[in-house]
This record gives sequence, C-alpha cells and structure tokens, in this order.
Amino acid sequence: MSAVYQSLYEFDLVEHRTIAMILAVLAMFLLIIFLLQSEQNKARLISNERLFRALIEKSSDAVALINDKAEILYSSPSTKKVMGYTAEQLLGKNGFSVVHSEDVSKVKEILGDLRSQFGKSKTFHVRAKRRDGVWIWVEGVVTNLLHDPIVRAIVVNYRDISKTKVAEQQLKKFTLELGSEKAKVEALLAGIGDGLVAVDNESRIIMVNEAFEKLLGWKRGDVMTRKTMEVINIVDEEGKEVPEAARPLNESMQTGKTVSGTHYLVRKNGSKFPATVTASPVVLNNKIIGAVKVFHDVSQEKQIDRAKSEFVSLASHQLRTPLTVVKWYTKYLVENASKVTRPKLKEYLGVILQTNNSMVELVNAILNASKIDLGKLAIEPEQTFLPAIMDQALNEYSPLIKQKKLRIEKQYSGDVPKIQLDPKLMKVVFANIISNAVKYTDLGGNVIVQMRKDKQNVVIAVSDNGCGIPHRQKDGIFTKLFRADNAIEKDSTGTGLGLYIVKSVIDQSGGKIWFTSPAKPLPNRLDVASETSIEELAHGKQYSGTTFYISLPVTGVQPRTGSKNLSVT
Amino acid sequence: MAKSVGQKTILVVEDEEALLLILEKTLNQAGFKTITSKDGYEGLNMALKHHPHLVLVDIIMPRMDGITMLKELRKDSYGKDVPVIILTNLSNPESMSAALENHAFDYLVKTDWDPETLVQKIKDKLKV
Repeated sequence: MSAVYQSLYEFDLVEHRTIAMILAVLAMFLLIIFLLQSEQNKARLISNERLFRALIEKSSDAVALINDKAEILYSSPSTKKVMGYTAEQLLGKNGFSVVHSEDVSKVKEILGDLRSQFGKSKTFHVRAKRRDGVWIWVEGVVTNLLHDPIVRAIVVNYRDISKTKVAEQQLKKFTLELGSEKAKVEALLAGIGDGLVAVDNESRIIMVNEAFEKLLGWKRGDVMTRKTMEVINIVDEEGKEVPEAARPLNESMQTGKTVSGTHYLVRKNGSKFPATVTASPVVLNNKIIGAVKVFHDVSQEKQIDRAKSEFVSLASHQLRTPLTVVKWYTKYLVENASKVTRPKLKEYLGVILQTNNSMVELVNAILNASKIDLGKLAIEPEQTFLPAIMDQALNEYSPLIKQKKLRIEKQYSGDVPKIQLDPKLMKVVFANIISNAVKYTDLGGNVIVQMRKDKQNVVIAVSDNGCGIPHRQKDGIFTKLFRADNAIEKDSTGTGLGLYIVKSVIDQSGGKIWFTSPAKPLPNRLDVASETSIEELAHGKQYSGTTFYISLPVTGVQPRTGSKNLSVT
Repeated sequence: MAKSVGQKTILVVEDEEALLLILEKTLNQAGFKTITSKDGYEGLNMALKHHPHLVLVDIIMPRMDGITMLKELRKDSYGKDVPVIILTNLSNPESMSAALENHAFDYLVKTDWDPETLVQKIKDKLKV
C-alpha cells in the first residue's frame, strides 16, 4: 500500500512542479505580451499625441481649453492667426473677455446646457474682438470633456468666419432684394401699358407681357418660342414691309446697341397702329444672348398731332382769304378816305363786316372740328324739343333766306317727343344742315324741313332743290375738308368742315345721318300738313336738289363728360 | 384821275368777288383797262382771246386752278411770254416752284400785299 502511496505522492510532486512551471511560462508569456502591448500602446500614444498636437498647432482653427468658469487653460498657436493674441497672452484670461457683450449670454447658455452633458458638443456664432480691436465673426464648436481624465476641460474649437458671414449676409440681402426685385419687375411688366417682348438670339419669343397681348391681339401661348417675324409684322406708313435687317430687334442684336424708332406694327387681325419701338440687346458675358423690345402705341398722339397740324394749316390757309379782304378794303378806305362817297363807304364797310362774320364762323368750325378730333365731345343731355331747335336754326338764317327769296316749308308732326339730347350740339347740327340748304339753293328755291316720329326714332329730313351732290362725289361728303366741285363753284369760301362736324356729333349721339341727291323728302302723311310734293319741288328747276336725313333714337343719349363744348355761332 | 398808261390791259382772274372788285377798282384808278374772270378756265380763254399785257391770277379757283391755267397759257405763242403774276394765299413750296418753273413773273401772297403796292409793281413791270 505504501508503495502505491509513495508512487502517488511522487506523481503528485512531479505534477505540481510541472504545473508551476507551465504557469510560470504562461505568466512570463503573458507578461511579455503585456509589456509588448503596453510598449506598442505607448508608442501609439506618443505618435497620436504628436499627430494631434501637430493638427492642433498647424490647424487654421484655433483651439482653446477652458474650465467651467471659461478661464483659458490652453490656447493653440493658431490663436495668433485668428485673434491676433499669442497663446501665452490669453492663458489664464477669461474667455468672455474677448466676446461681444451682446453674445456673452448666448455662450453662457450653451455652456450651461453642456455642463451636465459630458462628451456632447454644440456650435456657436459670436462676435469676438481681435487684439487690434477689430470685431470678427467667430464660429466654433464647444465640447464638454471635463469628465475625461486626460483632458479635464471644455474644448473650444473656433475660426474666423467674418468673410463668410459678410458674404452670407450679402447673399441673404441679395436674395431678398432679388426676390422683391423680381416681384417688382413682374408687377411692372404686367402693369405698364407698353408692350414688351423678349427674344433669344435666334429671335424666338421667350417672354411677352400683358400689354403685348392687348396691343397686338396675340395670346401668350400662341407666340411663345415662335420667331418674331412670324408673329409681328412691321410696316411703314404706306403699309410696306420693313425688311428683316432693319427691324429693331434684329438691328439691336446685330449692332449690340439700343435702337429706337417709330414704326407701324401689324396686329393679329391685320390692322396696324403706329408705335414707338425701342429694342435693346441682352448681353451676358460679352455675348448677345437675345433682345428685348418695348413698344408704345402712339395712335392717339399721332391723331392729335395730325389734328393739330391740320388745324394750323387750315386756319392759316382758310383765314388768309377773309383777312386779305379786310386788309385790302380797310387800306383802300384809309388811303381814299376823302374821295369815297357815302354809299361806297357803306358798301365797303358792309363787305368788311360780312367777311369778318364769315371769319368768326370759320374759326368756330375749325375749332369744333379740331375739338372733335382732339378728344371726346362733352354731351350734356336734357329734355330737348327738336322742332324748337330747328326753328332757332331757321331763324338764324332768315336774313339770307329772305335775301334769296327761298320758300321754307316746315312739316313737323305732332308726335315728336322731347328727347334727352344735348340741345347745343343739336343746334350746331341743324344750323349746318340749314346753312347748306340755303347756301346751295338758288334764288327763289324751296326748302322743306320735315320732322316726325318713326318707331323708336325721330327722323328729320331737310330737302332743297339746290345744286345737289354730284354722283361721283357722294362718298366723300362727310369727310373732313371735302367739298364737292359744284359747291366750290357756288361758294369758294366753304370750310369743308360742316358735314364732318355734323356727322361726328350725330354718330356720338347714337344717331344716323344720310342723304339722297336728287332730293327725296319723306312721304306725306295724313297727319302732316303738306303743300309741296316731290314733283313740285323739282319742277322747273335745273338742279335736282338734296335731302339730308337724320335719325335720332327717342331713348336719347347718355351724358358724357369732356371739356370740349362746341362753339355755336 | 387816270394817268396815261397807254391803255394797258390787265386780266384779273380771282374767284373771291370782294377781292376782284377792289383789284379792279384800284387798277382802273391807276389808268389800266381791266378784264376779269372768276375761274381759271374762263380766264385762260379770255387771255388767249384778248391778249392782255399782264395776267394777275389766283391759284385755288373753280374749274381750273391758276397753276394749270399758267401752264396752258405757256403753250400759246402769245401766252408763252406774257407776264403772269400769281396772287394767292397758298404759300406751299410745291405751287411756288410750279409757278416759277412756268416762268411766272412773280408769286405774291395776298395777305402780304395790298392793291396799291401791287399796282405799283405792275406799273414797274410794264414800265408805265
């Protein structure tokens, strides 16, 4: 038994020794590994530290370590670049000393937030005062590493962003401005009465405004991307097409200059209107990328211009004859004062007076015509009894009627109602018609004045058996300055304005005017006393006469404001 | 009253009666014989028939205007040399140059003249 025990014991001993050895080897091995590792770690740590130091020191960002009271514990060399202070100069100072007083609370707040949040970061933007006194915008990140046994500080990483900030502010302002400018431009383009079209360098339309649509009759959708040549035709006053090269848009793109001129633009419906056109090239990076054309409708200006120059030439020319008469007669009387007999004196003074009267009439007619041409005719309607107005007109010409021994026959039917019409305008109309009838009818002639209600209108007919209107000249009778040949022969001093004025007034009063020559008075009606028939009117006369008809709605006219009242002789 | 002007005849063509009358009267007082017409067509025929020493003619007239009358007159052997004074109130360059091209002796604007000075001009021209 003991031998077994012995052997067992020995075995035990051997085993113990072996295990201890193995353990020792293992321990050594582990130690070696540990040592090796820690050596490696050390080396890694050293190299890491160098790396970080280099990074911090060479970085354009400044790094500061502060404690929870914001006292600066460390400052990186880049501080000099950002703040102008050397690292040493800031050491021990309070970080808040360089922060703008208005931004201190903001930073305090951030620090307060971070105090309980270890390892967390926050960004900040503050104004900081550099050593040279200049305020800069600083952007940075604060990280709470107070808990970190190695660092034990709050890390502040910051840089100067003044330039970026200024640029950013400018950009913001610019964006705002751009937005409002765009809105402004859009409102402007929509609001202006001038038509606008923008094209690319191939003359394709890329933009039009509302006035463009209105003035030319084209819809935006119909013209976009089309060539301007296809859409807007440009012609001269005679309607001759303006060649492509001479068109403002093309010219401006070719020359690179702003081109303006007056042209006639043709609408979608083919009608044309005069417009002042200005085209400017659109230049980007020294390259013409398109052009913009603005056009202003000058029809009204043109018409006013025309009316004005017509007035001047008409007034100067038409007035010269009566002025000559007055001049020559007065000169004669002055120079022959002692020789002139009383009857001759009376005769010459009579000529002067009559000429003067015709001058007054002429000036009124010219003024009236130009008032009609220049603008709206004021209409001031009141309950008007047309037969009374007609009587006034006839009365005005009674001296001439007596002198020419004309027979005037009035046929006013009893059903003519009072109408809302401008009596002054009606007087001008009737006086002109009666004047023509009297003027162009020979001695002893007949004039029939008829007035009656016909459905919804009052119809007035003034017939004479005077010289009539030549067939070939019927079309021109209401045109301004027109005078029929036979009328010139009878009276060369007429203005050619009377019927133009009459027609303008009647048109604007909602009525109609027309005529027949030979004369054709309204057919007799049982309720109208009539003595003269058509046959009698023409009987034995060399001329066929004329009838002027005027029809005015019984509903009358609406008032219209305007500063232009017609002059009544 | 009439000085001896050798009974020179003046044709006056003017459609405005008042002017015609006073012209006629002033010319007569100055010793001229006058013949008158109120339109260019008749005036032309009178000129060709009566061969006046001078023609005084308006422009705007019925039937034939003064410029046409002048042109027609210049086609005639008598008419090509007769002194013609255009007396008008038209002062546009076209009618002025038309008058001068057809050798009008003068182109006068009525309002700038009066019969007395006009008669003096005629006297000078006809050397009376």
